Amino acid sequence: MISIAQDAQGPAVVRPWLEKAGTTFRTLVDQHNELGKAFLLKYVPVAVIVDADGRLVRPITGVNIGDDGFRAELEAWATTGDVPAAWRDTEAPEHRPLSQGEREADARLQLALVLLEMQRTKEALEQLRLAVQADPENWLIRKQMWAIETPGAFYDGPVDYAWQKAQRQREDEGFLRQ
Amino acid sequence: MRIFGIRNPTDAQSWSDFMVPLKFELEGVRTALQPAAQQQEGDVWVPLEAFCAATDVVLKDIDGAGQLAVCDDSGGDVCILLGADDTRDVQGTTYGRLSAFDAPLGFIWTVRDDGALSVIRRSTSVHTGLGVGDRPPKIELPDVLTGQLVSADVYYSKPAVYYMWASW
Repeated sequence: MISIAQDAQGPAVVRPWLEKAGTTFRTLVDQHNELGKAFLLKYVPVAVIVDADGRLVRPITGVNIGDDGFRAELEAWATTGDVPAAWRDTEAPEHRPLSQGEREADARLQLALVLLEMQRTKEALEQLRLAVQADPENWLIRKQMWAIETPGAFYDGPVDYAWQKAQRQREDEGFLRQ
Repeated sequence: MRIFGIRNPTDAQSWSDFMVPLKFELEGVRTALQPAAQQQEGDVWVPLEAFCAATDVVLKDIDGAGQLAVCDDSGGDVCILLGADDTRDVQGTTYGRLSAFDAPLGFIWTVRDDGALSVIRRSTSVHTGLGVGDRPPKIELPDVLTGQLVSADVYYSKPAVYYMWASW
C-alpha cells in the first residue's frame, strides 16, 4: 500500500494528516498533479491496483475505501490473488487526449504553483480561477483553490462540506456563469 | 499545416540599451538557455534557436527566404509566423518576442521577482483509457517525509495498491 497525496500545497499540509492517522505505509506527494493529468483524473480518492506483474487488476477509477463491499473485494484479492469479477467488469475510462480547456487548466495550475512558491498568493489564485474557468469539473484544481483561499473550511476541524456546497453555488452563479 | 498571423514589419530599431538578461526556468526546473532571454520594458525576447530546442517546438525558415515561424509539429501541426517587429538580430543571434507565439503554442510564462523567466507548456502527455491487464506508466514522486524521489516501479514486483487522496 502506497498513498499518494494530491496536494498542490505540498508536504506541509499532508504531514499533519499522516501524523494524526499514525500511518505506517509510505506516502508520496503529487504536488504538480502529474498523476491527475496523466490519468485524466479530476477527483480523489482513486486507486491504482496492480498485480505482481505490474498490470492493472482494476481500471483506474474512483474508490470508496469506507464501502464495505469494496473493502471485502480488496481483502479477498490481497489474500488470494483472485481478481474480483466486479473489478474485471469495470469499464475502462475513455481513451482521449486532454482537451484544450484541460490543457489550459493544467498549465495555469503549474503557473499558480510557481506564484505560490513566490508567495504571490493573489496572483496564484487568479491563475487558479482561470484554470477552473477552463475546466470547471476538475475538482482536483477547484477544491485546492478553495483550500488555499479559505483554509479554515478545510484545515480547522472537520471539513466544512456545507461551506463547499455554498461555495460551489456561488461560483456556478458567479464567475463560472460569465 | 495551419499558419497563423503575420505581423506588419516595422523598421528595426536600436533596443539593446535597455535589455535585462533573464535566468530561465522550464516546467519549474532551472534550465540553461544560451544566450540568455532578455527583458525590454514589457516584452520578453528569447533566443529563438535555443528556446525552441529547449521547449520541443521547431524554428523554421518557412519560405526558404528568411521568413521565420515557430511550429509545433508534434500535436497541433501549427506554425506561427514571426513578423519583422517580432524578431531582432543581436550579435549573430536571432531573438523572438515571446508574446508573438506563446498562446497559440501553449506557453504560459511569468517573469519572477528574482529575474527568472518561468515558462510552462501545456502538456499533452496522457495515459487515459487504461484497463485491466494494462501496465500503468512509471510513477515517480517525492516521499512526503524525506523528499526523496521514489519510483513506484520498485513495488511492481508484488501486488500493490496506490491510493490517491488529499488533505483538502
